[in-house]
Amino acid sequence: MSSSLCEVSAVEKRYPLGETWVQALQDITLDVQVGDFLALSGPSGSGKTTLLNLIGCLDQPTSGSIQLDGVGLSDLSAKDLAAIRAQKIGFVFQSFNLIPVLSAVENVEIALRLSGQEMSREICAEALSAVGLGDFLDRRPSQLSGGQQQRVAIARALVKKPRIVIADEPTANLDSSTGAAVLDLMKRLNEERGATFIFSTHDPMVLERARRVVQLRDGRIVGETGENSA
Amino acid sequence: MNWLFVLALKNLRRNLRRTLISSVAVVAGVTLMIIGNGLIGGLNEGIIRAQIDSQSGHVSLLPPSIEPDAVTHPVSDLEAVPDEIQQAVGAYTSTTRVLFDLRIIFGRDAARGTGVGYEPASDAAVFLRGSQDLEGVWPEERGGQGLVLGKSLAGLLGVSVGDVVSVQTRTADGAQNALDLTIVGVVHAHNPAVDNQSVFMVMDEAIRLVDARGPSQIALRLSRRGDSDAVADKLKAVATQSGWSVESYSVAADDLLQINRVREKALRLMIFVILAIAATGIANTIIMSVYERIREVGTMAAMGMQPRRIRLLFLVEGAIMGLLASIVGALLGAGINHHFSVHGFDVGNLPDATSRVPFSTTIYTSYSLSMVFLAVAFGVTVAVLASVWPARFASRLDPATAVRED
Repeated sequence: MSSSLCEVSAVEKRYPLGETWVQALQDITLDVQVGDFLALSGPSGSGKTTLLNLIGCLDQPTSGSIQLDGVGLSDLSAKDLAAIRAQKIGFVFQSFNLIPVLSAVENVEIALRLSGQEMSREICAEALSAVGLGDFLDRRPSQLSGGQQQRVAIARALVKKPRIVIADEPTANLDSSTGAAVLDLMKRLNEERGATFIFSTHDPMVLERARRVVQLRDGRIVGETGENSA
Repeated sequence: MNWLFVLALKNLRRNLRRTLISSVAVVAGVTLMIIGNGLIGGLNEGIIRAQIDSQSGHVSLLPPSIEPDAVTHPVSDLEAVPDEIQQAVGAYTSTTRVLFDLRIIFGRDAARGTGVGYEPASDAAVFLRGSQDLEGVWPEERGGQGLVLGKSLAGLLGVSVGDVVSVQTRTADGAQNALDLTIVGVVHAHNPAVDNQSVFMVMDEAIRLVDARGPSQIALRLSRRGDSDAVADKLKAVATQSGWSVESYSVAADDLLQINRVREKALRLMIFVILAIAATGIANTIIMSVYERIREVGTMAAMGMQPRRIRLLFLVEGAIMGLLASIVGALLGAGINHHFSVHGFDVGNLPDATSRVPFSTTIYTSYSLSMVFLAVAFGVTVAVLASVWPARFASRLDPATAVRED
């Protein structure tokens, strides 16, 4: 029996653009369940990244409400949002976003330190072993392939055992076979560890592997397929 | 906190050449600060030493007819030392001198100078001769006969030890008088006021020449230089009743020290300009670093790094840069300063404008560890202050857009 991890209710997001306003999201209602492997799909500009930013506490809605793990995000300060990100959210970015001056294991260590959990190199090494990089702990990002860098990013996102992992187009910068491998890894971690994943994509190969797909267009949810669809 | 320091260090190594170039100005500023302060301190000390050792002792008492700042040395109205002053200075190491203007003639050459009649038994205890180089002997070693000339004056006349010169002056009664005296010594005091001007002879010989009825000054040497003002104040109470004036070396040397204060201000201005350049360089380096790392900053913010920690990271980077540059500057400055504090450097060939000015022509830079620490602290502070704005800028980046920055 799954339970709700993130409830997005009637969320609207508008951005100022010069003298006008851009309606990035409108009337978004979404319930992300614990253990979900959920894809947000849609063309560029449909609002996928904006919605991930809101769920990931990187931004706040113009109206509506978001509850993550029972905490309302709307009225939190930047400091409180940072604390939630540190403890409850893991991020995987399209461009990997590793710190180039740090080794693979040091990149993972940073996430664990920021989460406030007890720092342990063993835990970080295990996280890298879990993504198949046990022999690459001391390699710098520049010494790793794109697929390996993204696996370091996944280890970094998961090391602190977050409530949710947010991945913004995680395979977009990878070739198809590497992208498939990375996606299979994410799915395995989702199934074995129960880690909740929500990611944006318009890659059909990614959508095939998602258990739930929410389609966005022009800032609105226009459809949903998969396990939790109505 | 430790990992933040390590991360900052790694970030600085990322663009080592830029970091080094930005640090050069801090190195220069800190080096100049240490050398400049050592030089000013050394100049001050040179002026004070020269004043004490050749002109006034620690405290000087002058008879009513002598103006403290007088350039000439009249002997007409000199008087015997009053008993109460004699008694008051009796508690200290003291000596008396007669000073008078003279012409010294050798063959067809003549030069003006200042005659110094001194008490052989007590003069060297007040006017120390340790730093002087003497060719020949002092007159007391020749039974009070002859004279000692300053080295430059001897050079001007082309005379040396053993030559006989005519010394011409006016007596206390205004009459012309002259004596032929043998040069028994040539002194190099490394002090223009002595080397360019002074003609030393024992008091008896001087009295014979100018017929003075008393000394031009009583000079005191104290066991502690710092007591000079207090002793001068104490003696004033007695001396002023007889019309005598009293001044400590610090008052006598004040005009020259004032000039040094102007130099000190100019030096501070120069250090300020260099450190302002350094601050601009560091601010530029840190802001460039922020711009190059916007995505990294966004990533760290996305991972939950608090804005104050992001700020701290860049401040630590500035501080490390400032600290390392300041240490290099301090080592460089302290090394140069130390060398000149031991060996000194000679400024003896300065123009004639300094011919009567008492100061040591060998300058030994002053050297203090506290100055080195102060300079390092100053360099680090400048670097940290220069990093404040870039660090603040980094901490205020919007993580949502920063993580996707190209």
